[in-house]
This record gives sequence, structure tokens and C-alpha cells, in this order.
Amino acid sequence: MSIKAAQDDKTLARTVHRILLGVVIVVCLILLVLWRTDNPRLERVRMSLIDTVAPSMNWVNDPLDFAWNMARDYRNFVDVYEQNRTLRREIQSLRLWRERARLLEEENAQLRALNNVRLATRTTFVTGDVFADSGGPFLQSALVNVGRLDGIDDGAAAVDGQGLVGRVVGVGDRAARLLLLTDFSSRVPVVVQPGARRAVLSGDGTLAPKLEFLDGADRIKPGDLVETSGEGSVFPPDLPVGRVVSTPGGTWRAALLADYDRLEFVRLLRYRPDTQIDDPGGLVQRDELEEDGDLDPGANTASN
Amino acid sequence: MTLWEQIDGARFSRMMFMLILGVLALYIEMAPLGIGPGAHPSPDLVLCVVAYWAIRRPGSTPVLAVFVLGLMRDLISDVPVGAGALSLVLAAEVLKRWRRTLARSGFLREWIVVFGAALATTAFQWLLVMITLAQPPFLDQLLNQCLYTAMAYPVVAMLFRWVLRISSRKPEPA
Repeated sequence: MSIKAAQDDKTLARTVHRILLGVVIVVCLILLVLWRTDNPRLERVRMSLIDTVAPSMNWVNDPLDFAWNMARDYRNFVDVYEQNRTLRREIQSLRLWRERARLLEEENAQLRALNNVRLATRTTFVTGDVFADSGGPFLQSALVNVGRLDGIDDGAAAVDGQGLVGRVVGVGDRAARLLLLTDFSSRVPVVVQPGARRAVLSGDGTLAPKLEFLDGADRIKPGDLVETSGEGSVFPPDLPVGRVVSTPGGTWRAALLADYDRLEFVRLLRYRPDTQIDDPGGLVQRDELEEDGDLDPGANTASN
Repeated sequence: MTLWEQIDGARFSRMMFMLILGVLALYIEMAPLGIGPGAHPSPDLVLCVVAYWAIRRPGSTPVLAVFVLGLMRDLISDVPVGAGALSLVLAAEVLKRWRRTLARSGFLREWIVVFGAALATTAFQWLLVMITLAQPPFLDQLLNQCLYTAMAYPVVAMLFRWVLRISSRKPEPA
């Protein structure tokens, strides 16, 4: 092979490399624009990829989790005996409480039957394991190992033992992506109790998201409970979210109840809002009824 | 030697090995050890792996492989799609170009350069997010992550050098 041919090859390789680099840059920029403009479609691509890789992630996750928990719970291992005794004592007192609760529930059921109260729609839940987080500060999100096959829909609320954690923004068949309340793009309609003052909880990258558009801010005290309002029918109402704290700047924030540090399992709520009837049905012809003269204005609402 | 002969089996297997290590780094990065703003940020391990490889084995760190790795990271974790991949590709290209100087100087300089790469990629992503009018995260959180990346790099380098024996700096045709 002559020197010239080798040089030619080298320049050819360099040109190919340059073209490739240019193509990659253009593709990346296009993807960035897509990310900004057509997020739902990209989300589907994302979730299908996560569906494929999720099982293999557990290979790495499980040993890491194990080591992490060992380190974190080292103190618990040391005083496990003492803990056992306290737990036994607690179980004893809880048994008493369980009996009382059962009695109260029976009484409650009887009263409800008397009162003919319509119960709220049942909210069922699926518990999932958090198997990944976004890692970087660009987006605060986590992946959970339950998905469409478990009956999870887009927008489902995620709670841990103490409070709301976030909501589902992407569902795959066996995985779902949670947007945490702390993310910049998280907005949740809430009420501050007591007084049911409405506000919007908007995440800003801190553990205490801001309360925006607050109704009657002068009546609010630090320590008040923040709950979901259920407006928009995305979240069930009355899920605990946080406690009001005041900041030097004069803005109100909600310190979240959910324990993000120990987020291992979350419950995803399967919530179906009540069917709401807000206009007259189409089956009965209103005009005909008016002609007959027997239009009962209460008929529509009574059927709710 | 033609272009096709360059893509020989050994180089291909080295590239696949790099990709596997990169994916492993991604998984470790994403393991949920502390979630939310209160937790320590995960270091950018994918960048560490790609940087180490680009300096030692530039021939088996082709643009496309780095791009695939970056895109996978963008999609699985939640870096703005495209921004993370682009910054990773550009960082790898720059490091490949500087590898001769880096190979002659000691590890300290390499460490500083990788820290610089972490800062540059983060700044680039931040800029792209700003341009697309999305809300970028706080700068102190980003800086914090860069510091963690810098702390993680010697660990990654030590693992690669002493456990995986990837240390030879023989010049490889790029």
C-alpha cells in the first residue's frame, strides 16, 4: 500500500468522522426541541425503553440497596433486642385499640345505614418499589416497578406512609415514572386546614415547595395542615401533603410530610372520581316534558 | 488499511466493553440511594467512564457509541433529552483530541481536566435548558453534582486501572 493511499484513507476517515459528529449534533438538537414540544410521544418512547431495561437494573440495585440499608440501619442491628421488647409492648396496646376500632366501625356502619349516606368512591392502591431516581438535579423524579398491567393510569397520586410524594407522569407496562412534588414543574391544588383555604403547591427544587395563589394568607399559621383539594379530579381529596412553614421572605411554604430520604416503597392510588352530572341528560327530551307540563326541576339533581 | 479493516474484532469488543461499563455506571448512578433535593446528588459516573476510556482507548470510543450511551442516559434518567447526549459526545471528542498531552502529564492534571469536563457539560446542559425556556435547576445543586463527579473520578480510575487493568497508554490510531 502506498503512502498516498494510506493518507487518503486517513483523510477519508477524518471526513467520515466529521460528518458523523455533525449528524449527531443535529440529531441531539432535534431531540431537544422534541423534548420541549412533543413530550407525550417522547414519554412513550422513554417508558418503553424503561420497560425493557428495568429488570436488568435490579441486578445492580439489589446489592447496592442491601449495602446501603446495612450501613443505614447499623444502629438498629445493635439495639434490636431493646426494640423487640418495645414492639411487643406496643402490639399489646394496639390489640386493645383494634378492638375499639372494630366496635367504632360497626357503629359507624350502622349510623351510615340509618343516614343513607352515599359513600365516597373507593380508592384502591398498588404498592410499588422505587427502583431508580433521576440522579441529577435537572428533574426530580423516580421510577416505580408497577405500571399499566397493575392498573396504574397517568396522573395517579403516589403516597408513602406519611403523605403525598408525587404523581405519575409516564406509564409503561411494568414501570411508572413519578414526578416528585419538589420538581420545578410540579403543581398540585391543595387546601390549608383549618378553613379550607385554597392554594397551589408549586415545586421549586427544595424540600418545602411554595404555596402560591393562597386564599386569605393572613389567617394562616405555621403548622397548619396542607391537604390535596381534589380539584381537577386528578388526586383524591384530603391526602395529607405537608405542614405550613413561613419563610423570611414572606412566602408560605409547605414542609412535606413524605419522607423522601427513606423512599423505598410508594403506594399508587387508583382513583376514579365520582361521575358528576352537571347538565340535563340527553335521553329525556326537555321540550316534550315542558309541553306536557310536568317538568320537575328537581328531577335531574335527584338522580345524582 | 481501509476504513473497514480498522473496525476489527478486537476494537469492536473493546467498544462493547466500554458500552457495558457505561450502562453499569448509569445503573449505579440511578440507584435510589436518597431521593429528592435533600439527598446527595449522584456523581456523573457515565462521564467518568467515557472520559477514562476516551483518554486511554480513543480508537474504541467512537462518536456513535458515546451518543447511544448518552441518549440512553437521557431517556432513562431525566436529563433533558438530547442535551445530555450532546454534551457527553462533545466532552469525549475534546478529551480524545487532548489525549496526547494528557498521557504525558500526570494523573493530577487529568483529574483537573475531567473536573473541567464535568463543569463544562453541566454548564452546557444548563444553557440548553435555558434556551428552550424550561426551568433550569439551582446552580449550587449543579456545582455540588460536579464536585461529586470529581470525587468519583479517582475511584473509577483506580477500579479501571487496578481491577480491570486498563492502563496502557500506547498510542492507538484514532
